[in-house]
Amino acid sequence: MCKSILKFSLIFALTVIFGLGFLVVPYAHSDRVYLDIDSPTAKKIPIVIPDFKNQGALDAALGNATASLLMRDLVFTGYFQTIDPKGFLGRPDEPGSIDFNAWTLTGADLLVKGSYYLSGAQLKLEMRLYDLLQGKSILGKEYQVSSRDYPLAIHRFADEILFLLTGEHGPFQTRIAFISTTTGKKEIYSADFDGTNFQRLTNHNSITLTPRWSPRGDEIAYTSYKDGTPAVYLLHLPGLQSSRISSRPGVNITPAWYPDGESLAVALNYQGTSQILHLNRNGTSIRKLTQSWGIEVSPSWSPDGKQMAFVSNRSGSPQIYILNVGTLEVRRLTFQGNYNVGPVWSPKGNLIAYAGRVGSQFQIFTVSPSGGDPQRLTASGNNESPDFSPDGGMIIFSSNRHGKSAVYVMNANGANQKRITYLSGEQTSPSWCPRKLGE
Amino acid sequence: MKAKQTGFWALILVFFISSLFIYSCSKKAVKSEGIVSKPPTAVEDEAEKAKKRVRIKEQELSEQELRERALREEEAKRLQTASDKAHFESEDIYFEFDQYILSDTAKQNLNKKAQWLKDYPSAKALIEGHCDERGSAEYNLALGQKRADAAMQYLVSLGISANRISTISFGKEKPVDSGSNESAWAKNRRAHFILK
Repeated sequence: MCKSILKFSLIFALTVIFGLGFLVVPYAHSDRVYLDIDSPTAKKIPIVIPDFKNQGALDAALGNATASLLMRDLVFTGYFQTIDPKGFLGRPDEPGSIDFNAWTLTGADLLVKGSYYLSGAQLKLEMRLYDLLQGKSILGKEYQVSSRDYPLAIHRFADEILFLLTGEHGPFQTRIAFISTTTGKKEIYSADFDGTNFQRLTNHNSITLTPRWSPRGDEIAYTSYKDGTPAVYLLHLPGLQSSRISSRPGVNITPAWYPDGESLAVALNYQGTSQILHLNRNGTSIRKLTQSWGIEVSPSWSPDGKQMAFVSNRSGSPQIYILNVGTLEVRRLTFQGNYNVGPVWSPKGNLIAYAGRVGSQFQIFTVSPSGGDPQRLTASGNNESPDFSPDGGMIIFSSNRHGKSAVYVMNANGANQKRITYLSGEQTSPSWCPRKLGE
Repeated sequence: MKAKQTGFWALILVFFISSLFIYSCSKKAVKSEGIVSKPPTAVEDEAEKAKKRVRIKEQELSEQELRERALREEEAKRLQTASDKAHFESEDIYFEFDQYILSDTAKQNLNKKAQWLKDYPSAKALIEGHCDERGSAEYNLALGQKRADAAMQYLVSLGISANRISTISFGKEKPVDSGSNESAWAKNRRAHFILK
């Protein structure tokens, strides 16, 4: 035991950043392509994660909690298939000596072995990912955190695994916001990417709607009736002070952050109809972006800020249009169905997700910003208010498919749909924070 | 000559006496007339009084009636006002799905509201625009505003000053019927009026 501690201290020099120390072990990235996440028929990777081993004198009883949290994170992405470690019939592993053949017989392609050492309130976690087919370790990390914060280290390692295998970061270190009626009134809540660790952010005791994380992740723009009329506010995190930026006569709704976080597009009453204006973050007008006699709401900027998707009923029913911000030219994007709303531009710029009515219910679609056939992603219940994860790999949305409305996630191709909020009341209008925690 | 003088005085005397007699007779006659006419006069007074009493009573009655009638009318008017006021606030106007065009029924309702606002020139109204649960919360906020605006513009076109009317949209946030069927939706697609 002492030997292994000595070994750790010799091998790893710990870097501590914001209380979370981590160190990259220099394993060469494999040339093997593990997972093409853009392929709709991508096979799930079978992975096995036995309980982490306690290496210290104190047993924090974290062996199962750590291993199962890592597995839960990986399965959340929809890219992995859980293999039960009870299927391992080989000899117990010794440090530096792993019975790859026996692990391969469990059916797994990948193995994660972890160990931890508790010293006072500090927890040292070591995790390694093995490619069983090649019989070698392809990723290894050590983290030092307060024992209470072990999930942070697990989430970070899960993110490393995903980045190694797919070239994309996972959502494991991100937060979401949504509206919930848990108190009887619509208030803004935030939670981890998987719906856990939820927290109420507002106490307006009014109608509060459409939270939208700022690009930096330190503010949420939203609409509330808290001062009597629908006005746009910014909620400043983490202090949770809110400041009103627009309460012009009529509606002040659907704020959408410009990519630099310094300005927003907002739908306002302009000469008797709802139009989209570009406002500074203090609420002063930059310019008017849309021009029609109809209703124009729900803007969403392209990642480069050169285009803006929005909803207009200028053709007689709500449809999605694309504005060229430079020329103010507008083209219609959706032609299928007579009620398409809530467009949101993917962070990579290659997709627009929206909710479209099919029969009497709404379903989530994605479509290329250049047009073409939309792809329908949901099937049952009302599915609305899509938003992309920061890497674009997943879509969060609200659905009432199981009765009351709750927040769900799925892969951007529609696979792996699951509910993530289980609060009382109804949860709607989710927004995914574009920034990772601590970034 | 002496005989002529005596005859003169006698004539005067006769004249005097007869005149006395005539006087007393006439006086008697007047007196007796008075006695005769007395009983009918008393009857007449009683009748007159009774008549007067009736008249007064009639007058009193009609005054009370008038007062009561006035009160009744006032009350009726008050009730009418209250009822108009209640109708003003309770009678919503309704819209088709995803529409903010005023139907003929809606216009008739608004005509009554405009008249009421003219009758009560100090009254101010708030118009709330509402939608059914279908469609996005965001789009419905804008649609509800359009509905409130349509009602306001119609009232203004009937001569109601725009600064007596304000509008707010609640989108689909405040349904009157929480059901998920056409009858509930039809009730929820409305403009609601509140006197301030």
